[in-house]
Amino acid sequence: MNRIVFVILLVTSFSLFAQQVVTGVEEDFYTRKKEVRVTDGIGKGRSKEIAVQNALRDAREKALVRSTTSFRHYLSESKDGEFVSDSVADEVYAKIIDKEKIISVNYLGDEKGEESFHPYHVAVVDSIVTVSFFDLDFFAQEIMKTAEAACIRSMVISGWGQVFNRNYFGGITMSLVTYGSLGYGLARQNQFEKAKTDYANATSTQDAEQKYRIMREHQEVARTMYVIGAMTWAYSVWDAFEDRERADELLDNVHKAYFSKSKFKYNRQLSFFQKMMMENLRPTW
Amino acid sequence: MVTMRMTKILPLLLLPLIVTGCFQDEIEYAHTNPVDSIYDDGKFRIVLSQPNMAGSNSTIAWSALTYDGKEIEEDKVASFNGIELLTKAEAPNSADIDNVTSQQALTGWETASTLSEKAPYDGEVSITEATSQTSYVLEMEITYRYNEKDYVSQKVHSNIVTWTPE
Repeated sequence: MNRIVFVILLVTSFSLFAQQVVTGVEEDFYTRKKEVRVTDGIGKGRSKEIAVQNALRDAREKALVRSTTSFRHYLSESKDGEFVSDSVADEVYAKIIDKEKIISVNYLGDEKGEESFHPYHVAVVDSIVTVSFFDLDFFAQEIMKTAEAACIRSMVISGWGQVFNRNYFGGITMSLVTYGSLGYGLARQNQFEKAKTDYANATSTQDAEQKYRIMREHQEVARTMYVIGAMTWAYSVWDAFEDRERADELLDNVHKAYFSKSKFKYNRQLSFFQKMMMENLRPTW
Repeated sequence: MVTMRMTKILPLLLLPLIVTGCFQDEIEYAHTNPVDSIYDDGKFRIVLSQPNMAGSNSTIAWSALTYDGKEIEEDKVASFNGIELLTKAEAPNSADIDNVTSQQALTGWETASTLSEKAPYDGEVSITEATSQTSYVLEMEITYRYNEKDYVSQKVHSNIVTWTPE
């Protein structure tokens, strides 16, 4: 009975870990929300309303530029070894995701409008604009990570590789299962040593049989716990590698989504270890 | 795509665990206390049952002698001095237990029967009905070839059975 429950629990837990499906760009993962206050949104128009709308449009554009959205490329061109030209290109990966909140509107110029010599109203808007932007720093940090680095971390401490891969739930769970199992196994192993002495000192058949059962139970539970701990640790090492690979696929998708028409080149190279694992050692059934 | 790959890997991960789990109950531990109902004297085991006290038909029986879980084979027995059923009119003391666990001859016990049977030595013998607490144990000396060229020679004891009148 215990064995069946144990196997069911194990299959369930492994299935949970296996259900992390990558279906496309996880926008929330690589984007950040930010509220940018723009105090100098300026617009003009023949009416105050148009001036405000133009000021808001200006505020939105400024918010995009002022959030950490732009990625600057230094581009140089040479021909036959001779430097020809250079330029800096800006690429902006941000969008407005919410209606701006207007804090205040001030009008400049003549209040009389069309009746005066100046036919335009000028509005200065102080507003808060919510921007979703692609976190380039985060992306750059992520593409520096390798599967080996995740793998080695999980070898040292179970679950560390998952945390390294930002799979915090998986990492902490695996760590708890691994060290919980090993710790409980050790505790039962210590109890086994005492039970062994009790068994050896039993003076009646009934007592000896009872002590033998207790001793055996301690040992079996300890062994089972060690197996669970060791297997979870091994799984953690494997999963760290797999998880990194999933992350790499995600990064590829992100790159396609954001940089397909960009001058920012990104060609992920598989390491020797990855190639070996993926081409030679991966099960083929 | 990723899910498919993980699904393929799962059996690989689960298989050793399930296999290990299935064999967990099969692990046997030596019964090292002679007062246990089973006693493993080294790799030898012969199980003495509780005596059946029924007046003139009182008997005590024991199982076949095994070595490492396998029944003793006659053609591999190099020497055997017969089975002695020893009795003592009290519970075994610590010296008795020490003698059994150290494979020494028991002292202060009476020889109730000496039997010279053929392997695997299971059998039954009539005993005098006891009226007070009595302990029984089998003792024998055997030299046995447990593989092609290796022999083991030792004094073998069964578990000690203590009968107490109701």
